[in-house]
Amino acid sequence: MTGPAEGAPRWSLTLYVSGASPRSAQALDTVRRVCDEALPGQVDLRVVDVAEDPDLAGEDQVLAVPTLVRQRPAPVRRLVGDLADADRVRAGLELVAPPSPSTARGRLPGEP
Amino acid sequence: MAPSIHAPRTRPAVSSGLGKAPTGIRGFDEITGGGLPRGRASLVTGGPGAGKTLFGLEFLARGAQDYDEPGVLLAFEESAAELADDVASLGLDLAGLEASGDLVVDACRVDATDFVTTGEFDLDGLFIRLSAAVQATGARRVVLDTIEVLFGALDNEAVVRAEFSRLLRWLKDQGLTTLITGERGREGQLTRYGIEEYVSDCVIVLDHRMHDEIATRRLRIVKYRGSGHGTNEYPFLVTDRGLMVWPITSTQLTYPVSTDRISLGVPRLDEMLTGGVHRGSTVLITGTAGTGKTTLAAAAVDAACARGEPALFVSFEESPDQLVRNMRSVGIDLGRWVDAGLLRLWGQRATAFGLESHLAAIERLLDETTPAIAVLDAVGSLTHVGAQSEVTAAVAREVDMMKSRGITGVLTSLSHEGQAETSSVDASSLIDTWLLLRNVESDGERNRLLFVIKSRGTAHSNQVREFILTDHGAELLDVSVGPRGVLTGSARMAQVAEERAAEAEQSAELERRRLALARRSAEVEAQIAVLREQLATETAALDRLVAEESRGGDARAAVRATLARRRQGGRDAPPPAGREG
Repeated sequence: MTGPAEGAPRWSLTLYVSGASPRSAQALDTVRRVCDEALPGQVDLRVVDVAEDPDLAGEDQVLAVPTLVRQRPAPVRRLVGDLADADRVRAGLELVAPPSPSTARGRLPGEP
Repeated sequence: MAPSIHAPRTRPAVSSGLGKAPTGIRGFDEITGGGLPRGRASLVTGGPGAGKTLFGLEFLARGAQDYDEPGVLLAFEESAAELADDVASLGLDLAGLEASGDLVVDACRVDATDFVTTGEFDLDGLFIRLSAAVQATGARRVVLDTIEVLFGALDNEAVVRAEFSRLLRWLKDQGLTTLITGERGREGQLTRYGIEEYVSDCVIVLDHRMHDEIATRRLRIVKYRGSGHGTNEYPFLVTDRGLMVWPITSTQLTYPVSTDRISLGVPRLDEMLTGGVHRGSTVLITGTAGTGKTTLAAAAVDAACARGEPALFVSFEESPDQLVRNMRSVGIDLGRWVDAGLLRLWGQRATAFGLESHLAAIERLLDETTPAIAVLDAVGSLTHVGAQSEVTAAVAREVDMMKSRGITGVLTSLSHEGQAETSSVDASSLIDTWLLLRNVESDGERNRLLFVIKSRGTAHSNQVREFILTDHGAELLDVSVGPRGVLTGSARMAQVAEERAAEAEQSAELERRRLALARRSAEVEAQIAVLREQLATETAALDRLVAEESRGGDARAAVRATLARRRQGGRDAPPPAGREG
């Protein structure tokens, strides 16, 4: 697992939504907030309505809505749900902020 | 429509009420009376490798190909390429059907490890993709393989359940005939996540188990709402022409029958069967090792080819070359029929195959060769590859395959000493004519006897015949029944010789007596001649006497006359001669 911010690669995220549902709106809201905090200006975020582009949804293996797909950096990650919990979104995208070495190490399994 | 080998051979009875969508899977439509419930969802469940995905794929592909019902496959476990490979092994052209727009395969592989669930969601993505595919093809059939993956990948089970239930309602509203595959759960549960609760119309369980180190697949219909169905466990096969369920107990006895009789190639045997066996019937030849089962079967094939009819000889014991050589040694030249293209010889050790591929191979051979007569030598060899009940089922299926095609079948089966009347394959009830060959040991030799145990529709002979193999084919001889019982071999020959000697003796005696009589008659004739001679002599003597007598009479009269004249001359004086005399 490489450090996410190091080398500052351009991030590519796609949020698949279905119409203008409250769930979709909330998910978009959370994604924007998290990205602006942790990766300002580094994220290419696309929003796709599965009803309008089912083929693209198929390519990204999207079944559940909303789904946030991290295409870059590899590996691909899929976050399913309304992204209500910002901490889980950060964890899912592997953005651990704030990066405190002691706490980060303390969370690893097998450590005393 | 061009005749298709995949079209159901027997049109299944359409049950009233529920409409059914034929699967095109051989045997399955027969046990369900027409297929899966139309416009509803069915569940097929089983362990890994049980054949669930293949079942679903064949249902879709046959629907698109044979029943004009396009379909959509949502595959959650395998990629499109993997699926295409799977069905290619079933002889189904997935890519071709996709190209023609009759089938859509949407592989949405769900890899549980790259999913993170963060809150509320729904499965609109799935709905939208499915409905787009259904609209694009005008699909009437949908297969979801295996939707349970979603339960594992998305950790909000309550949501997945609710969405799954909504999906089923949607599919039903669309009137789509749906097949859902599920993974068999632990502890007798039908599925790992209990999705059978949602699929209430039809549940099919597939099972892949080992029995005596032999893998067998079985299919069972656990429930089928509103329809009768076979309740047994049916063996099924994955063949290179698709799945095949053996509906042994529902096989319909609706074969075309013939009153035409054909020769089995041994004239005296045909006589015993009042002119041979019925065309399209099945003959079983049982006997212990070396009784001539194969030779008898080869004679039947030889006779068929001589009539110009195509034949198939399947041997599980000998290679074709070996068979030709061995039959030549008893004067049956199979090689010329092979050269003439009339006879197909096919040899394969039974152990080279499982029962499944064995049956598939036989069916393919029957379809390719379209023979008038087919020999399976020997069906008992199959017991090496399957348990008894399965072998019986397989043989039943073979008999069925031959009968339904109007092919005269000749099966041979090894029986064991002491239980000659039980075939090693318990198939006697399926058989029309049963010939038993038996070795009889006496006087230091073994000889073969042939019995006709049964022959349906034939006033067959109750006689035992001796069966001999000569260098000009198989022959049947009358056995000698002497005071010591049935005699065969050299005992029969000895008996015949004895009888001949006795006969010769008797005719010599007769000749002797005839000669004696002739002699006696000649003697009598001679005696008669002698007597006649004597008689003639005596007659002649008498005549002479009579003649003399008459001459003597005349003389006496003359004397008397002289005397009388003398007495008239001296009357006073008495005649002195009279007084003195």
